[in-house]
Amino acid sequence: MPVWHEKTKELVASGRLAIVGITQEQHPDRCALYAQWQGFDFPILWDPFGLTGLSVVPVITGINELGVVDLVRPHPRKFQKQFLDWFKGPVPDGVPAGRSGFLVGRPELGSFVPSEESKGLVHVNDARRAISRLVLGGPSTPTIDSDVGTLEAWAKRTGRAKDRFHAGVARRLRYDGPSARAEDFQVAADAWHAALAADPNQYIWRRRIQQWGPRLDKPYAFYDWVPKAIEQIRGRGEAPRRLAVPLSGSEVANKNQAVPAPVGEAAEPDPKGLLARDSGGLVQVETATLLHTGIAGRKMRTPPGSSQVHVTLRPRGGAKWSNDTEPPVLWLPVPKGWVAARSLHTFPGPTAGDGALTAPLRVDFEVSTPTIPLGPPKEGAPPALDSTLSGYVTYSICLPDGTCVFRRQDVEVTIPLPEPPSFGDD
Amino acid sequence: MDVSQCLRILTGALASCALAFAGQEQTGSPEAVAATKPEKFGAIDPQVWVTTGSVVPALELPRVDGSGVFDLASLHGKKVLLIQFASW
Repeated sequence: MPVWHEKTKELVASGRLAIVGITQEQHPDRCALYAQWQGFDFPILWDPFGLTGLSVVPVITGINELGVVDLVRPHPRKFQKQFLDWFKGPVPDGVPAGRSGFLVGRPELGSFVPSEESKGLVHVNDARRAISRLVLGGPSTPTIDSDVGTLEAWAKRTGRAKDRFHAGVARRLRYDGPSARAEDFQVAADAWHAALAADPNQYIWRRRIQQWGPRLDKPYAFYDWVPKAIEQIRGRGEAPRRLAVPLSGSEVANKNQAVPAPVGEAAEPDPKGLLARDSGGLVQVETATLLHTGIAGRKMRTPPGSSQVHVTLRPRGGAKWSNDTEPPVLWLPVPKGWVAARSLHTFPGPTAGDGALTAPLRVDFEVSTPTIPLGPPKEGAPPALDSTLSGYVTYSICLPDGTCVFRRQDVEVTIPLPEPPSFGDD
Repeated sequence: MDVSQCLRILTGALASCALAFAGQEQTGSPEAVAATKPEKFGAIDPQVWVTTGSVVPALELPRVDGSGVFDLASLHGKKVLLIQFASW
């Protein structure tokens, strides 16, 4: 992308070439920050649902004056011979027979409806409208609850991978907005896993899971460039674009870094259970577990790699974080045979800025399950692995009247395990 | 009225239709969706982007910087380099 931007600056300045980017990311803010960092001055469009239909990026396309593709996958190393020859080529003198490129306007919403049979059916339009509203309105879409419901019902009815992915995107959109529900992130992840299981070659869907998944499942670090970008943008005297949704640990993790070794066991914060429970629901605890994508479409007894556990604390009912006490902690020991770097996880404290004291606080970390023997369970074998981890969070939280209290709340995290194979498997 | 006027009017009218469409109230419930036959829906044929001679479909999406909606149709008359990518 930066290469093409640099090489085409003069052509764009001449007014005869336009560059447009489309990004298939869940959050537009990350790409907007990237564009600011790189100094991109052309429009970049947000396509979280993957409406362009691609299964992998990047894909670069040259389009002529009539809206017809006539340069496919140009290579920047062949800029002179390939790209400039195309660019200097003759301007087409008419629309090809029987065709209508974007020159003559849009086929009416035809991009969403590739078949004749779908025309005129209200239920199709419901789903189309839901996606349109969510793309245009993002996490604050006023109709987001009904739109999520529509897309999930549509996915359930069709059973198609694409529709499941769309439903997952809608769930995660809601999770990042004012209408977030505790289960949204996990439901989104489950929908994405189901979609990928049906179409394991869809790498954009795979990346969507890996963004929040375990480190060992990442082909590379996804957003590790963000700190450097922010530093360099500030160095230019600019204010970096703010990320509406903070980066998780998983999003910056690099699989080539050393596996985190278990650290010395920290002291349990409330071993006797004496702390008062949060019976008033001042904080909502939300958990999600993202599995290694290696499980997609396979029957395996041994979970490949690890899982990434996300725990979020969200103040409710006007409660606010206290900014002058110790940050919240999660105590989540793992059973014998499991691996986690630590049992005590400290949440980052509230950041500066408006709304920071009511914003959710998040931690995420890897957990590896024990290896499960291949084959059917043997007679007299130990009972199936319990995949639920139990722990608790403690936090200082302030009531609307300004009184701050210290509370504890129990937490359960479920790590889904593959089903045992039937005879003849493996 | 010359051809370019015609095209501007057509493009503008269709873009208005799309935005109006996006803002319409939902007329069917999830139950109504579930009660009907599944049809093809969802995305553009990806081969469009990698096949010479393909007509670029209509596409209108918001900009990542929040500065509004962009319609590919607004680029008629120019050569366009379309880069589909991700910042990850």
